[in-house]
Amino acid sequence: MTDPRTQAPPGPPDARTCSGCGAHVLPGDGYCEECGTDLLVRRNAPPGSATLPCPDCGGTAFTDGYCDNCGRLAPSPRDRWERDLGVVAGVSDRGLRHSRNEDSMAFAVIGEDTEYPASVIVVCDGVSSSIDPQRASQLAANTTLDHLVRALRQGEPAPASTSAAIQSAQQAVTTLAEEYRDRSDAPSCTIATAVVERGRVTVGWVGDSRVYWLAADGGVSRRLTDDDTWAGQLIAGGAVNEAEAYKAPHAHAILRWIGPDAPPEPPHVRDFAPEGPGLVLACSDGLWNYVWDAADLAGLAGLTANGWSGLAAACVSLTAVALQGGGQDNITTVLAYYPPTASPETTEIVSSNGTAPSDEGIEP
Amino acid sequence: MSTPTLPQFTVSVYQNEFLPEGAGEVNAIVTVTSSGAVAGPTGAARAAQVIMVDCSGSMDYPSAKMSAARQATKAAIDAIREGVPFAVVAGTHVARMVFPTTEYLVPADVSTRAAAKAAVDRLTAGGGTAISQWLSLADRLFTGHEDAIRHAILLTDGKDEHESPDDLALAIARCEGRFTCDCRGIGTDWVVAELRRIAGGLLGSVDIVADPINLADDFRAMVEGAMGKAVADVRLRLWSPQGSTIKFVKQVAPTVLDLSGRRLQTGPLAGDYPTGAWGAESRDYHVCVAVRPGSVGDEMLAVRASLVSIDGSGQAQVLGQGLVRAVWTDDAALSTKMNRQVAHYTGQAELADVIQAGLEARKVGDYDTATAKLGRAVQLAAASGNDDTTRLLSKVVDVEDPATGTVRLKARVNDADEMALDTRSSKTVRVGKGNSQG
Repeated sequence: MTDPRTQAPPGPPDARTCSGCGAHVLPGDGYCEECGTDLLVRRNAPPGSATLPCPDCGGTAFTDGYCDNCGRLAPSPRDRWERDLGVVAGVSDRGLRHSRNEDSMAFAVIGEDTEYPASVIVVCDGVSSSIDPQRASQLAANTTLDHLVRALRQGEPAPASTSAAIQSAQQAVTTLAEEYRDRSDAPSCTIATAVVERGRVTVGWVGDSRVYWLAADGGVSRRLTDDDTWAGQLIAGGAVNEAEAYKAPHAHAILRWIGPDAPPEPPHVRDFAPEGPGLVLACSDGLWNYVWDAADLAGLAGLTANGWSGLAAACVSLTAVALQGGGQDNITTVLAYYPPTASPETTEIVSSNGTAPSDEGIEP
Repeated sequence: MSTPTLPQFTVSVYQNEFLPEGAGEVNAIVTVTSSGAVAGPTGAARAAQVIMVDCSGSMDYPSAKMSAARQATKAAIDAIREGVPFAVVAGTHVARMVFPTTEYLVPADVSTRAAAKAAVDRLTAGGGTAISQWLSLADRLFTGHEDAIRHAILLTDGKDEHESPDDLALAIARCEGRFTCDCRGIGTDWVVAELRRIAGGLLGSVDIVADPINLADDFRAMVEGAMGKAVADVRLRLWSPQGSTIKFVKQVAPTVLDLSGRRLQTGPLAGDYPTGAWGAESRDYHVCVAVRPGSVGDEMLAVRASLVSIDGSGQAQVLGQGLVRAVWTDDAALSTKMNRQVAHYTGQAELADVIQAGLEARKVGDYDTATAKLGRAVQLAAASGNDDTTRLLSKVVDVEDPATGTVRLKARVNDADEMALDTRSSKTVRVGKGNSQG
């Protein structure tokens, strides 16, 4: 029990309340004495549940999820939701060509005032050919985040925790499939995760959702994941470049996913040691289909001289690029700072002249 | 009065919900399955039964018809459940009470059945045919039994010749929703279109009994079917969004029956289509609706299809529900795929149409049209595995190649065979029997 992550930071006495029950807590408390809430973790709020008026006819009555007047699918709070935790922010958008947002995101910051802060991000993309894919993606994202946060708070290393967390999501989605016994197309999704710690970024994935390293100030940006697609395998093997590989008609067909009939291999896990400040981007293919080059993504996120206007704004700009490109798919974009700390260090991203990361950062 | 427990209804929707941009026509097959009467003392629903027997003079030529009608009516009386109110009506150019002798229904028991059968034995033929009179009497007899499942059988051997077609049409319209009526034609002198009109309006079946010897079994089966009904006056309620138009609503299994003209508006966006009484059975409906075309990415509820039961006080109870959706996509692989059930029943409805058109053309001497229509019918029946219809068609045409629908009209066709084909043209088979609809 010497890992500082399991302990609260020392600090001056301060009046604080528990986010779970409102009870008074002491600055040194790791958990709330009243309700057990973890005081060192902040998580993004889920999509809201407010009922919005029908965008087509203004109607406010809905039955079975459709407008009572014009029949339009009821607008969902999932259609677009934006969340900002300061050191991590995300936007998930329905896009322009799909009737539902089947992507999901979940993220948390752990021990941000401690010596060992960490950000955890998860992006899941529902498989459109399955039924109710948004249920799979939200369940997988929540389950994975819960597992990762718990494991990291117990001091377990990020790579092993990532693998176990994604497997717990696979379990949960398999259990969900029992509600769809008579269907061969039970809910399924992809997953991409990142744990951002000081000195290390750990990524995990199954399917074609991606994690990128976007380096600040002239560093080398790069993709940290390899898609589980035919094209992804060709690219990873060095046979063709990305633009060529994804021209094939079935290039996007995914080879692995989270779901009841998923291939049994363990999830992919890698870690990476950044050599300077930057951003970690996790996204669904609704974004990278429009911009796949890591350096281009870094530029669009504003990691250029005088371009930086904050994490949440960067998520919005990246999403806008995909929407302007046609918004063919759901678009989910989550960005986290490296190093995983809040301002004022964050300003270093564009102002520091840190050394560029080396090319040997990725360990398979 | 205790309300019998309503049967379980399940509603399934088969459709391809994906439409290309700009398209607005949505097709779906709605399959409704009812569990029938719930077991137990309260399970048996109340019923009422009227049997209308043609006693016109022609029933004696040959005399086997009248004697078969007597036998069949007695078999039907025996099949009426204990306690169910019933009556027997003799139909000629007027309608006359056979049993009881005054205009009311008596509950079936040992003595009333015996008395009714004795009265039926005394039935003789003589007089004309005015079916509107028979229907009107049946309607009067059912008055006061509105909370029961009301069923009638109508047997005739001839054309409705002692009144105008308007008289019959008016009587049918008045009886719609009042009771269901299964119609049977005996011999070959009756008119298929007339009985089809009655059965269509009164949501019953129509068939030919070419051989009088089979009539008793048929009557028994019809009454048993009626006694097995668990809920009366079930309606298919369709909600569709503002700006949409229901293009048609057809029952497509077990027989084709167009319900489009039977809509009863129940709200600004909803209307009811009558389906009659339900026992343990399954029926399919083809619903076609035109909605406002959407843009790629839009999703709309095109139809909410509910089965509702209307109780004595006019209250609707929803028995089951299915949703027909429209989703606009630019993925042609999704939007061009025709749903298998929709394709199948579109073919079955066309099959009924081309048989009726082909026989009509043949009657008026337009042999080219008759050959083309009946050839198409042979092709559709073979492709969908509708073996009964294929067999009936082979008595009217010589089939050279069922795959291409190449046929020759037979020079001589038995009247009964032609009428059987006409009468049964609307019988369909369900998906899965064919070999080319996959």
